[in-house]
Amino acid sequence: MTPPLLKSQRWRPLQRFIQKWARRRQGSDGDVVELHAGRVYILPTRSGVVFGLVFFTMLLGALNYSNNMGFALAFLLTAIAVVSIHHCQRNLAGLRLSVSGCEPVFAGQNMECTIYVTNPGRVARWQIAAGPSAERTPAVDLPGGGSAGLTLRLATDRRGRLRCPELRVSTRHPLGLFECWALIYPQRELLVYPTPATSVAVHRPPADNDLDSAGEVTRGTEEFVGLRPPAPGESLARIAWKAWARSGVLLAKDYRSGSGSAWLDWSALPATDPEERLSLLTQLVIDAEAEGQPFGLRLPGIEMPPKSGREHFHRCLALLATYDVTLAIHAH
Amino acid sequence: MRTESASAAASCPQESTHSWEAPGAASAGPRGSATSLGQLAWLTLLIAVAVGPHAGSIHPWVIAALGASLCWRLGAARLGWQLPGRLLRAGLTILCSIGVLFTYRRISGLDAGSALLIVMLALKLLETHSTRDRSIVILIACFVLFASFLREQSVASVPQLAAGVVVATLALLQSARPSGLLTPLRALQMSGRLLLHALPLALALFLLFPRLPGPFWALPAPGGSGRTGLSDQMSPGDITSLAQSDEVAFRVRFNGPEPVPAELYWRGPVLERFDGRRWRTLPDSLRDQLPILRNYAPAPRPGQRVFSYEITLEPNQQRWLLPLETPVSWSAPDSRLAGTLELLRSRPLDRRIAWSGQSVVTGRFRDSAQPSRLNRDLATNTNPRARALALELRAAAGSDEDYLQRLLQMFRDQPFFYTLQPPALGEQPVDEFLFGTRAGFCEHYASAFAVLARAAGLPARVVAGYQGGERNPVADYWIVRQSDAHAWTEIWLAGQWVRYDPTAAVAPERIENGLDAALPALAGNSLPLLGTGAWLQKLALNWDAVNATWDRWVLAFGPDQQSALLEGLGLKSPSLRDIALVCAATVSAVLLLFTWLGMRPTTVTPDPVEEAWQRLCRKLGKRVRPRAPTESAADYATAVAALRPDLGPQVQALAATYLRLRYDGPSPPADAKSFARLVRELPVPLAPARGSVARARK
Repeated sequence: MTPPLLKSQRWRPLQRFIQKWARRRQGSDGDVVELHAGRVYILPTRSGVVFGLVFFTMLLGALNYSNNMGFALAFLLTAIAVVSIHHCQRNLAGLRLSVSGCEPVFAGQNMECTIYVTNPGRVARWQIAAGPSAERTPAVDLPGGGSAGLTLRLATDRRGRLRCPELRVSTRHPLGLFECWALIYPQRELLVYPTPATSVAVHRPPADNDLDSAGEVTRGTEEFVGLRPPAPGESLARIAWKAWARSGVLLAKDYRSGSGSAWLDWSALPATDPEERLSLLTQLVIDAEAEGQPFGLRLPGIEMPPKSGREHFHRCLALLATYDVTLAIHAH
Repeated sequence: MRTESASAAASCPQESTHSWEAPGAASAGPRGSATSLGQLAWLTLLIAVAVGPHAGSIHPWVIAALGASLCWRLGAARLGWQLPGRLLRAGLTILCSIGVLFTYRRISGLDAGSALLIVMLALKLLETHSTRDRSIVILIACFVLFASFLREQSVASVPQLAAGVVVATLALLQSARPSGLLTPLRALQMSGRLLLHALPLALALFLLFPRLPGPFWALPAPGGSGRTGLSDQMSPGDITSLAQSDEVAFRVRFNGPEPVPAELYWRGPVLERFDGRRWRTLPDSLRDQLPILRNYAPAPRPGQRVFSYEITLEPNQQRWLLPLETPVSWSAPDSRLAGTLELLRSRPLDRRIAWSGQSVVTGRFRDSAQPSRLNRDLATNTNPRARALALELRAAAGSDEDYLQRLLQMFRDQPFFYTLQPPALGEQPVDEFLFGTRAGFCEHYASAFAVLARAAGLPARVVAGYQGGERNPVADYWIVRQSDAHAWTEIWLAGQWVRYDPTAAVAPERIENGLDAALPALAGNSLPLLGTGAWLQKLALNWDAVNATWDRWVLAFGPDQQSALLEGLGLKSPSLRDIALVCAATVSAVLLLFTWLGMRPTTVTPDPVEEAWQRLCRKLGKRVRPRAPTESAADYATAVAALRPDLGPQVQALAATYLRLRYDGPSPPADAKSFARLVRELPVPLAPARGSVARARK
């Protein structure tokens, strides 16, 4: 929500300037932000400007007619408006803002972030609005010790890091003549994992079925660890026929002697588009995690040693989310 | 191990849903929503306070239009009536503007201007959909309130000012709240705090904001068109009509001794030209040719007393300052003593002023100018019988002085009557009065006396002013009303002007005790003066004392009083720039004080959960590793668990509890207490115990 004065197109550059300036002097914020007085800005609203003009007219009239009651009225109203600046600032300063939620999601899903505005003081705060700086949100009253939450649903369309939108907390209390606001730039990183490749279902259980149907005897301790492009003269028994039937891509099953862990390898994947490969790997990571087996992730330039567990799972996904595909191009 | 991603996408929030919920808060509509009934009630109250004082002087149809608009708007809010569309509103606007133009024949001026403002208010009321519309209604109402002070600014208007400011603040407060009204008590408390903080600032501005003398543009005629008071001419009946008015002309406070009532001659216009019926002052061009009495300070003769006094003069649209008979010194700015001993301002008095002066009370004084032909002139062919009488009496008298005494004797002995209802006079007013009606008010006697003197060859003139006054014992000052208006004569005798008051010969009580004392004896004279009951009179005197104080200290505050105030503070003859600087400095100081007070941290209720978490972070910071400022609670717990597997499960559980207590809505206070206890009791050894490491490895 922008202050009305800044809302018109004419003021856009000024608004951008203020936001940039605030960003420069404030830096980024942690998860919990205390709105101390130094980062609270205030400007008159459009009504405030009009009121100022009318007070000035009254003053001119009172001067012209030497009308002391007119002076009294004009000065009282002006003083009330000026004092309301301080009341407005005092109404916002000292609030505590925290960002929570923001769990990583797969691209295409909505990320949910919750912003809590807490009034840590005993005195009630009135008409507080909070939200992304580009939007208008309704205002609420916060009693002493009270808090209000605002859930943002951020749509994601690509993998990567999502910047948490800059947040604006504002109030026009008490008279609506001035708007006081604070800008918050949360540093919190919002991770968007790649979309799992559901179209190319290459994962372990079908490969096993393949194996069984072909009547192939597993060689001693060797066990299936994944798929790779077929080598020239590859044994037909090693081709994953079922995967081929579904995707049209010819892959060979890879076996390794029993270390107990599998490698999910970028270079073993047939897809040519790097993003597609990342999607495939994402699906493989999900499947491997579901299996509960330790697995490693090998991308050009980076390796995650085999491991299991929730944390490893998320690290792998985070790596896939933020992987720089130019590294892969250089590797070739 | 992480690498920065070039392809990291920062997608904008395309959709964000708000569940902005506060415990106990009313559900919030969008900002600037429709005007609620409660907000309308506050607007109505404000309009009533602002328009009320105009009700008497504004044409009834304007008030009716406002009432109709209010009803329509309230009906729309309460009963869902249809409000007028844009086209109808435009039509109504044009219609009402034409209506005002037609009623008042103009669009400027106090009456027409305030009618126009009220019409605008009525029309804007029909279009109050948003916060901005409401604030415009409040603005117009404030301006209407301002206009009402151009009509009336007595003490009685102070409650109106107070009510207007409070209600305007309340209306603004409520109309800026789209999410529901505050309770009246809470709203009053808030606006009371605003007012309390605003008062010192307003007072500083009132006292120190540079007051500029004089109007910048032409003043429209004041509200009540027929303002009573003295003027630069006098015909029979003029002062009689003035005497019907109990309006206050000025108030006087004597510093030190006070003259007796019979000495209170407040000298105004000196009327020297006579056309057989009417007396007029010298035109300004002629009067300005007379030498100005600079540094006119006759040393008071032995036995003469000097009276010093302070006059609060009501705006009378005239230039005379009305000093006690012979001014010796005066503090009124922008004024001079003309050759005719008139104390004149350079501009008509359009506002209340207070000035102080010193005067000698004496019936004899010297002008700067010798009497001219004008002072002997009797319009030819008028009042022949009076002239004949004058010649006859002069021949019988031994000296000029004896002649004048005989004239007074004539008024005293023959059946002349002093009355407020003199019969109308025709073409030869003095003849008709002297030989016919013989009933008149002071101007009849003064006029006849001056004519008789001139006819005998003595230079004579009529002086208009006020005589006497009512003493207010409550606050020791004199109230001089229009009913104290008086006219007397001055005759040139032995090189100086001597005051002769023929009214004193006819009705000595008038001079000694005032009009009230002189007239009750006469049937049918009921003056609209003060009430008859003693307690009523006392009440009236008390009320006037309040008004006098108000006028003197508040309404008469102007450039001179401001300079005096600053001189009192040690600033020698402050210029406008000095005053502006003092004003700016004071206001800045007040604002800085407010800012300083506002910057102090608010009183914070300690949050036990947050405190416990901080304690945990300090504990772990010393023994394991400190928490980075931007690290989230969950991340920190994970990092600690990785470094110290022995503490891992406990720390992660505590972090989860912290997050739950902090962010998952309200929780019972017992939870916070047990959380704090767990943190306190968590042992954090410097290094992991051997056994525990071994267990963790296994």
